[in-house]
Amino acid sequence: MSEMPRTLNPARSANASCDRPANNRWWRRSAANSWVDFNVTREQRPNAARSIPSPTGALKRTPLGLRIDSVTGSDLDAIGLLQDAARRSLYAYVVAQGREVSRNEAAEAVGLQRTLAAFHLDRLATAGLLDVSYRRLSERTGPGAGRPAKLYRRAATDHTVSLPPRDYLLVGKILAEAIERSGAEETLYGTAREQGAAAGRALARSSGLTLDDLRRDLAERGYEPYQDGSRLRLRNCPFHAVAQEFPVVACGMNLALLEGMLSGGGLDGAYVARLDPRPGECCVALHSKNNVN
Amino acid sequence: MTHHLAVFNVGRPTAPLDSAQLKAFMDGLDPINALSEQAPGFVWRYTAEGTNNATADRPFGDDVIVNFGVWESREHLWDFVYRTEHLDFLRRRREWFQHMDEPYLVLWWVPAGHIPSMAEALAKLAEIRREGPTPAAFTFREPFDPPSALAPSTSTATEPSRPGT
Repeated sequence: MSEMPRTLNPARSANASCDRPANNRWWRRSAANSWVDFNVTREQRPNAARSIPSPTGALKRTPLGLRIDSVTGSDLDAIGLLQDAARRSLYAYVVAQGREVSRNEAAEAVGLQRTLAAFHLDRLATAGLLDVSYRRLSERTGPGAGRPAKLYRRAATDHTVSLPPRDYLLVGKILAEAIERSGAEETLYGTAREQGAAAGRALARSSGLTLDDLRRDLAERGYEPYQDGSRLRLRNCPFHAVAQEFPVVACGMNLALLEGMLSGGGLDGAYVARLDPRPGECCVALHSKNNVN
Repeated sequence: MTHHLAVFNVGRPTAPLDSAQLKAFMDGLDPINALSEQAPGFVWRYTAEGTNNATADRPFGDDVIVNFGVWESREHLWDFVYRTEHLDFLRRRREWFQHMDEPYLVLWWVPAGHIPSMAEALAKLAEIRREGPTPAAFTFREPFDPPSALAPSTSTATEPSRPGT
């Protein structure tokens, strides 16, 4: 059984990560990390065309413009599923790959029997934590090619449960729009850079900061870092829902935060944060200065 | 695909285009325009006569420059605008462009194959400034589906494909 990563993606698994102590983070998940948020929001991921206007307009048209399901909502059930250790490791494995994963691969990776893994994967899919697709894994087609394999990847939907109800997403969107309307981006970036630097300094306080330390910290914040040649890329955007609607504001802020962390942690001599967006990932990548052209 | 998406936006530079302040913007125009032409879903972009960009045409007065193009779908345009090197260009917009209090960007559906005129673009921007986002003139944040998707009663209309979703 592979080791369970310490954190699951907070955006999609809410307080699946509530075992971690709160500390001096620039964005805290919660002061106590003990509540469960019952305010269930569902955010459709990437830029799928929506015939329903998104919250900016919705603010004018429908009160609050957010989707609140009931406490008995499916998000709660989805997150509840992750209490099971086998399912949690399967989920963690699939999302960490950043691609479609077959039943065999997932079963092997977490050390489960294939049929048991398939059962759990399907429960995760039914609950909306994983998306399913079918594809032939071999090149062969036509009769004799066999059935297409069932493949799993992280669902395109955020699951948030908060108790008592909290709606920081709406706050984020309103603030983002206010910044855009007032043209206060430079102030935002400056503030983010300072907060990032403070976080970097706090991390480096004891013994200086290595890229590994930074990587671990970014993982705890939900970024899901992975090495891509000389770059450290980030598979998940912790600010996804705001970034979809306000990409310039959110991505600019994110870049400034990470620039600040690098400089505060004394890593800015070796690495530089760049906007390097790729569909489905965080917009920022950390480039090794030795390889920067 | 029965419809394509037209995009038109305006900007008031913070300094003359040939100033040091605007140099990085002007230097970026050719590479970014080239990037757009290679991007999936690119259909057309407006250029002022005899040039490779739109900066020479000033339908809103000398102090306002325009950008104007057509893409196959909203997703294609979104991916180019926000998921390529263009994003970093956008991030720096306050260095180069003054803040505008009124809408400065408008999107609208055009029949596939139709290349909209500058007059059409000006009318669309005026429309969104007057009426806010509607199916006839809207923004990224408040998008509308192309007309055929809104009128399923036309049985011969083909559903627009949705690449990228």
